[in-house]
Amino acid sequence: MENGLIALAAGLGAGLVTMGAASGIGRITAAAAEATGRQPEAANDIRTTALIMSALIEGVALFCAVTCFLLSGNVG
Amino acid sequence: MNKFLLILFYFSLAIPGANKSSNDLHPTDHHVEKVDGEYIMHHIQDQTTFEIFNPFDWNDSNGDHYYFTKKIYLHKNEWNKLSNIPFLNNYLNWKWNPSTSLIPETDNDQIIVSKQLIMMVLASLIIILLFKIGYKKDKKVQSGLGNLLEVFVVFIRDEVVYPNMGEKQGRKFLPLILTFFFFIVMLNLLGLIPGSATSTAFFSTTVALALITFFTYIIFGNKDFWKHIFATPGVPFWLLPIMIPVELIGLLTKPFALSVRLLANMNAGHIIILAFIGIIINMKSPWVALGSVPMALAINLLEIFVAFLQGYIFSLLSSIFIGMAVVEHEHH
Repeated sequence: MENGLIALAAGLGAGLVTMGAASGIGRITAAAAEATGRQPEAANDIRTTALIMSALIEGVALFCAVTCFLLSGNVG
Repeated sequence: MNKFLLILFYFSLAIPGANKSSNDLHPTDHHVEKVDGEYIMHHIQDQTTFEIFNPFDWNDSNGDHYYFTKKIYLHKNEWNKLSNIPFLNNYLNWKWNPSTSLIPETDNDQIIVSKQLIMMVLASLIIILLFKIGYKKDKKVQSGLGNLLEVFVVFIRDEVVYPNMGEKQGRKFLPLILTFFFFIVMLNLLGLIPGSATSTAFFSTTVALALITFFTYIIFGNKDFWKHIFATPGVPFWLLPIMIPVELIGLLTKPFALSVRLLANMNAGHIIILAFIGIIINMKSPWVALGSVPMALAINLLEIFVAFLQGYIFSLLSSIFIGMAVVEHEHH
């Protein structure tokens, strides 16, 4: 019973984190693409900003992924 | 002299500590029926054995159940015995394992040379050779290999370091950031070769790299940087007991995030590839390979992109963090 719950928690957690991170990075990319379309000469600045923000979101997502990974180590 | 001491200090960080004893690193070989989490975890750990593809081992001549594999043991031969070093052997032959006790044990053991250490030395040698061969000092316009390297160097200088640190401070820290970039990219790319190991997928490497960034902005941080931490301008004094711990935690989070990001990105790709290949063994049918091998190949190609991206992200974030600490900015 407990093993099943731990496995469920790890799997669900990883999935939820992915949903959140994907939504965040998708929004950033959409905004960056739109901004580049409006102002192509600022493409370099926009790309750098978008990459930094994506990296920050990815950092949070990876912390949660590592947590889920450690959690899944407790199964069985 | 100061600079030399600083460089020595940085080098001391790069020595991987907390080595397990060689018995833990190399458990007894057993025949694997199933690729599960435990098996994958064992394979992404640091080991003292290289497993290299050998086409002549079709009948498992070593008797270790690893077909088509030549194992290179780093710990079974004598070349890294400390007693080989004359005169110094009495002072150097101690083995320290912090996970069992904090007291160094005296034991005539070998210097533990693991996979990741070999890969790091290899990567450094390759980078040094590339620049020695590629860069021609007497030529104004580089050609061939030098041209390729120049693209990366100029990109890091103009797109990463100078916008974040400015020309004056950027010139000072450019060698550090360039070293980060080339070292990480080379380690990531070497890790994609089957049979080798990715050094950047182990905590001892990534934490050492992140600590270099950490100590750089601690040591070179100017007055403004420390003022923003201990007496943030524009904040009422009764808020300072809350603000100072938050700022100090923020100081420590940066290297932590840097190291975990690099490690998790590198490990994730390896785990996915191993899981795709493991499906073939778990399903016990060779026809699964038709589906899973192209998918593993696609992930491998993605990994090449990720290798460059992670080197870029690491150097970008390092230059931002160092730039925040060293750049003089006007007050508003």
